[in-house]
Amino acid sequence: MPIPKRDLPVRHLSDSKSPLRQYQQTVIGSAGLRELLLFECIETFIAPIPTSAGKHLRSGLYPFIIGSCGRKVSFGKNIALTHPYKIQIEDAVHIEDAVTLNIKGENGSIFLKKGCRIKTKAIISCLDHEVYIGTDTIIGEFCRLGCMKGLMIGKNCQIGNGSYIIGASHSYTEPDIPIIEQPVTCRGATIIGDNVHIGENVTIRDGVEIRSGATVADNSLVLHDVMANQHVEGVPARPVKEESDQ
Amino acid sequence: MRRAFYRFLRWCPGALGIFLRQKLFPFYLKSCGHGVLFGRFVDLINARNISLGRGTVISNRAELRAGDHPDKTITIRDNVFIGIATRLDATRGTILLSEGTNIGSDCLLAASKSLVLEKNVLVAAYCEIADSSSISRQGTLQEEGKGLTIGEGTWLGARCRVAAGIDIGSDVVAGAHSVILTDVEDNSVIVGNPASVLRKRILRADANNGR
Repeated sequence: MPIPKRDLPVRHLSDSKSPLRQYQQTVIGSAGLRELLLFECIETFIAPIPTSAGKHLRSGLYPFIIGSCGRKVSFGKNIALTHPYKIQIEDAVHIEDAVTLNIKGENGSIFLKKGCRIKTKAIISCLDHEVYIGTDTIIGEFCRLGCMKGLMIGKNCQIGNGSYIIGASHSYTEPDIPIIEQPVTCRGATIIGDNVHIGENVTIRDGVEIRSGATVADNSLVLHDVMANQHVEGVPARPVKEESDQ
Repeated sequence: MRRAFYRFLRWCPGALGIFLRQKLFPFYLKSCGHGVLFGRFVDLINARNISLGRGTVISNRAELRAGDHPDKTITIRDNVFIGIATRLDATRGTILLSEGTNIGSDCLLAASKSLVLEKNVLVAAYCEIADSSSISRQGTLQEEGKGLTIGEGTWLGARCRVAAGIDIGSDVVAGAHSVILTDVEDNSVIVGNPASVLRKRILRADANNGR
């Protein structure tokens, strides 16, 4: 039985700019002293412990700071968490060493469904809306998954090492203003269906939909929607052949 | 002892780690502004040749590698952001990141002679700005040639690669996966491998390409 979602009393942070308040706002997402102390104790003393002893301690103690956590969830060393109360993890999820789960906005959240695996050094960065990673899906090493209007990855998917799902982009219509100061843009939610195979070092633009059964070759740049069971490759990715019955 | 203490600071987790690194890493560096945030597992190699401006953020697992020689330096100005696991390699040249530069995660910036990023340059994740033989032109690797410069306000999209000795103008936009092998003029939009100019950015503010 998964631990029910904790109703976190959201104590809103004032506009105080003290470093402590900024830290609480950015890293923990709540103004509570209890949450701060719990988070710091676990991050400082439990997160870095190596070997299987550390793993067991983390499995037992991380659920106290994570929003909801199922059974047999495995946490690697030195995971970087922000706003952990907004992360929901189901049973048998594996999060390997040095993974970053970074929620930035008030409304961001991350859902990791049963059996999914986030491999080492991957980064999941959620500016807003939900990141939803489906059952038994594998997110490869040092991938980067961004989200601004939603990211949904279906079940049994494989995202190859080093791939990048872009969450948001930049406006550059004003030539007199540095791009870094122009608005961040997002074409829409990125949706990846079930049984999708994404190769290594692939880049997927924000707002793209990749339907179930599709495959994307290594080193591709996906700018447009990919139909079900289609295989695409290249920069920009184009269909190579259609597999109608895989 | 100093090195062991550095390794402790580098490892130290939580808010305590951020606080200690902010106060104590400057003693290892050539110079350091105030308010610099260092993530965990940041490697500062030959730190006496590294200068950081104020308000800089160096994310987790980043690596700043200056050379042994005093003129193989890394100079980072104010308010620069360096993403997770990004590597700056100045073992053979110098690196200068000007004010407001923002480098994404998992990037590699390596100088063969000098690598200069001017103000407000935006570099997306997985870019390689490097003297890399895999992307330099055949037989024209410019060991003694000019350095690599990226002009003010330029945006390099995801997974771009820039060869040695290239001069990228200001306010350039490079699409994702571009491989830049030749100099680029100001205000260009470039894509492809090798990257070629798609169009010029329009100079009037009312133009909109329909985003």
